[in-house]
Amino acid sequence: MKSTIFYNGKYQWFVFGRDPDKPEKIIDTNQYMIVDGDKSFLMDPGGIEIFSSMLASVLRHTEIEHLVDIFASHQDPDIISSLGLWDEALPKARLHAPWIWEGFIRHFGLKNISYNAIPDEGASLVLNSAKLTFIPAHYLHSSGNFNVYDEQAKILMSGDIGAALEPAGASMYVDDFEEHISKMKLFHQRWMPSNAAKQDWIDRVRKLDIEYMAPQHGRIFKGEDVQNFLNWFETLDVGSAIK
Amino acid sequence: MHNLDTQPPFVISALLAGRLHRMLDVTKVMYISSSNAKCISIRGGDKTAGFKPITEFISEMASDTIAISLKINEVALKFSITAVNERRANIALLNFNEVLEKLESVSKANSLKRVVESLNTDIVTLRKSQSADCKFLSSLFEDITQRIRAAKVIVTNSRTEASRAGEYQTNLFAIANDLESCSDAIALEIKLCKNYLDDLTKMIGK
Repeated sequence: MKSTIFYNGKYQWFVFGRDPDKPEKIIDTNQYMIVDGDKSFLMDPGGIEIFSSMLASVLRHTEIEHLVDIFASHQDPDIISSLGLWDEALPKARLHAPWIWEGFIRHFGLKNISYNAIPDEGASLVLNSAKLTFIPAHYLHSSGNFNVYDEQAKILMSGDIGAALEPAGASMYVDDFEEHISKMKLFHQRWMPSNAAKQDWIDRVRKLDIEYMAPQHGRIFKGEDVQNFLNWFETLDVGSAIK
Repeated sequence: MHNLDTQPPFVISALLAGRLHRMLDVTKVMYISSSNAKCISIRGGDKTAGFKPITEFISEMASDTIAISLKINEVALKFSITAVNERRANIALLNFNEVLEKLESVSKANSLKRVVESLNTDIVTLRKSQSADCKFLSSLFEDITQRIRAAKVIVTNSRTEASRAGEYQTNLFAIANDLESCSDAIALEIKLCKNYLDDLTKMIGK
């Protein structure tokens, strides 16, 4: 699995994805990790089918005992169905995930890792230097859903928001926003259920200083493409299945 | 060092692949150092002639080590995937056996027994695959170990050649130091990787 460092300050942000060994019919996913000295934080670690590639890739950049915190933005299988295996690999870790999904996520297997239920209004997490905020993104698309914001690195890990459906081997970054729209449109119209939730999130996120917006599928938005995305998303009518 | 007693095989093989990645980084540095030395040995003419075959050997060794390490990485990842599949098959087997104990209907139990038999066959196949991977990994590590052992001897010789290199002496000594620290670092990583492999082999043998 390809790993790319996209922020390198007092700590590092990595993105993992574009796994050539991934079974063909499984949607491609981006996994993110912060390595902050002796603490590492893995975000949306992915489905059970990519677990082996993910673990091997993660251990290139951190020690297994340093991986103490995991985050699941919501309950979907491509986000966290590997949990039962991480539970065996990281018995002392904590899983930070929406409170409403605790009883559901535990179905993936959670005997050792402790579940830190994030309340609806969000929460914060401090590693060593990295100070992170779990930003509410409810109903985008999951009814209990969070993004991770890093004020110092100016990174918003946006989960399914900003996701794109792309062929294998696509670039890690958006290089032509207008061209990228066609890869995002259906996903946002069909998977995102609520215009009200969408606007609530946009209003919240516009107040943040964001240099990178990093979704769980597709490409990372840089610089002005973050604003381009917010402007485009604001005008998009979502919840298309009931129109 | 990790407490391997508590770790399942799929984690140990991933740890091995992670260490290997670090070894690859060091080997790439070694390759660059030997390429630099090669340039100096060409520039120095007769004064550095003795250094040329040494650098050629180190370059070739580094290049081979990179190729073998990539192969080890591929096999270690395959092992990890197989070990995960075995773990999943074992969990399924455990669950099916629990169901069998609860089932009162003989015909339904028989149909499930076929599933259990199939799972048992799968587990045996996965174990054999892991055992074959362990043996292959062991032979690949043996190959790298021999190359590094030879490289250490050659690096020692390079100091003698550096001392005869006139105005190039300082540069070549610095490169010899680089090569020595790289070969020491690689030897250490190989030792750690072999420890992981020994643990895996023991686990598979159980």
